[in-house]
Amino acid sequence: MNRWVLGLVLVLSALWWLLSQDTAQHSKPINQVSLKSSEIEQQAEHQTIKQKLKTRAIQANSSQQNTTPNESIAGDDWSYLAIYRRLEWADVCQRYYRFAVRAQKNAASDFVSSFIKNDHHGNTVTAIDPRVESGLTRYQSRCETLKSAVFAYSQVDETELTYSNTVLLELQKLLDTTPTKTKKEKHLKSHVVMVQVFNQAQEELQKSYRESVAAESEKAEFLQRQMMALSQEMMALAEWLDPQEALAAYEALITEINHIDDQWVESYKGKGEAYQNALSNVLGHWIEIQAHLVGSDPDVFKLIKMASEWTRDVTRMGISVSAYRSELDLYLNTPGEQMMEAFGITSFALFSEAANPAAILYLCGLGYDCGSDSALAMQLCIKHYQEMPAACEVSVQDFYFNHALSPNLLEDVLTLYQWMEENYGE
Amino acid sequence: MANKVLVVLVVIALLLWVVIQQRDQNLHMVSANDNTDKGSVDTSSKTAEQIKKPSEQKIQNKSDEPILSPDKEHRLGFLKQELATTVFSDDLFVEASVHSQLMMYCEIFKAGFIRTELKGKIKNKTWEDAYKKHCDAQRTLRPHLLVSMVSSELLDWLPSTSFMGQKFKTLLSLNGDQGEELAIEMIRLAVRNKEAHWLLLVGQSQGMLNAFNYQEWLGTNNPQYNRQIIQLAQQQLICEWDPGNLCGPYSSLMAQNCWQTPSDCGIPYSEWFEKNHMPGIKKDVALVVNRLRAYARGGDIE
Repeated sequence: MNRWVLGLVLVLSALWWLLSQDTAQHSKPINQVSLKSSEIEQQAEHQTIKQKLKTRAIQANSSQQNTTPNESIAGDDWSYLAIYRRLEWADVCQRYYRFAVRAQKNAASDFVSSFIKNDHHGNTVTAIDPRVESGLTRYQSRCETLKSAVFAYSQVDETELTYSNTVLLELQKLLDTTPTKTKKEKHLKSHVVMVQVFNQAQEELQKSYRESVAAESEKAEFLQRQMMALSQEMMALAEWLDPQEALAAYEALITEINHIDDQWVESYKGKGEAYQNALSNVLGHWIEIQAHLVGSDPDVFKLIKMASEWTRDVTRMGISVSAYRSELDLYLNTPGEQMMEAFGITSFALFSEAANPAAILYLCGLGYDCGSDSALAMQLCIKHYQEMPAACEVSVQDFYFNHALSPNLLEDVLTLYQWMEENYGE
Repeated sequence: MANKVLVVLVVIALLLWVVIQQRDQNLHMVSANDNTDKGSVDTSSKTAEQIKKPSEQKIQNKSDEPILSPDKEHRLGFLKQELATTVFSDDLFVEASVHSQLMMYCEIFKAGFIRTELKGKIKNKTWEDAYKKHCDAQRTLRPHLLVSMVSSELLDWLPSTSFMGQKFKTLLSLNGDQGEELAIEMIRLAVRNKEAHWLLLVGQSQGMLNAFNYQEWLGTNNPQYNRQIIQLAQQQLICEWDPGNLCGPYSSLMAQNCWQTPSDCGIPYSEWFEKNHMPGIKKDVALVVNRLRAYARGGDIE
């Protein structure tokens, strides 16, 4: 009996030991070694990719301006190109000028705190990252300097800042009336005019669209009232006591709603002759400007690329999608969509995360001012300061290489950069 | 002698069973309030409806259940009939929540701005017709759930009978940052327990960016990018853990992808993913999927 008990104890002990070893392995943190070694290989690959991008996107450092932005903005140079540069700053400063117009009634308001509070749903933020504080303070300073310089030159009373786009409009007038002197200025102006003509064609299309809608406005209101009534009937269905009857009523309501919806869509189609002419005009200009994407001038590339993408936001110059374009029956693809198609991709969402940085870095590579004090860097600061405060202190390239892009995404950015070189490079 | 041998063998077998059960419990993060049966089942041999569902721990105290008006009791009766064959959870509230999510895409394809947007754009007519038939069948099977969902008041009064279900109810009632901590807890539980339906329900909640250390994994603090990568990674895991119900040809996931890319409607998820993303982005998704899988296996991941 004792031998049996002893044998049993030994067997059970051995089994317990074996199984506890297995448990210990399972409950250890995962073995990071294999993960680490593949990470090291990947890091080396990512460094190579970063280097390739850097050699392209930072090549034009030597052509950067020798003056500080404040000096350029406040200086005596009012040539065509200098006004154009001020216009780019005015575009970035729009958000500041909206604040300034409101602040005229409340002199005590502090721009940095108000700006941040506005982005935090009206909640005061007590701990502000010093990089953000510094960046937004510089932003305010640039915009104030610009406003003063433009008003002084144009002899406009500073108290006349009643609209946030006053500075922009003054600079636009100056640009239109200032003669070009250098080859660069003449080249730039010819494309500025081209884009202005395209913008005019877009406005005519929009006007035609609005007129066609206005003619149907009574009908649209009627349809809207009908839709609301049906929606209320829909909400009440849950209280019906017979689910099958409720389902039948639901199906009938859906049919009616779809019928109204179809009528509504038809009323916005704008199929009149005036609209079709305006549409053809826009399409013609759109095709024409895209031919000018090929070239080496960074200002022209920025101008044409943004116009071709139907965007006023430089951070969307890689690819932009617009419900407005599909409403207007604009069936051609933007250059960004053409690039996406070239890769066989139809899903816009994540493609844009590579396409937009690639386009900006391509712009930098052409020689556009992408330094830490540039208008473009400032635009990234005011857009990304909340989650990536480094945007307020580093160059555009540095921001993308070291903050905004994952190492794997950098790989895709390089691919698209190379595509742009092949398709837009001279 | 033979009796002694038999007794010894029985005792060994019993003790082995105890040890194995103990080990399996140690592999899962068990909260005080949740003891989900993982039930990772080989789905290849079962139909979608036969997949064993995890059983969430029920509330012990029946007096915690809300008292309903006669009208709502009557409607609860309808729902109980419609959801009698539960697929995802024994908790009616959870079951209804998941089915509501799945049916939602059916309805927005049938009426609304997505219907208008997609009109004439879906190339795969076979899929489109089959999806409509699938949606019609769901409506006929669960009419009361459908009309209740449309009136948006279903989840307000439907009682929950499990601890996870109650957590979810609480989460739905919280706004903005208030629910972040709870959302993070639920997302991590969903991953740890490989529960696809919970990942579907809570994966995109307010806590999603901070549920794990995604910034460190991906090497960027770009929330717009990270959110999309996490969403794709979650979709992959949902397809892995419940391919039949939540990743089938007529699932809400497929409908969502169809809306995004109408020219690709009907193609299997994995094919859609491979076709529509750049290589670097795919690597980031794989990176997140691998780490979440490691967490699901019991790894100590932050």
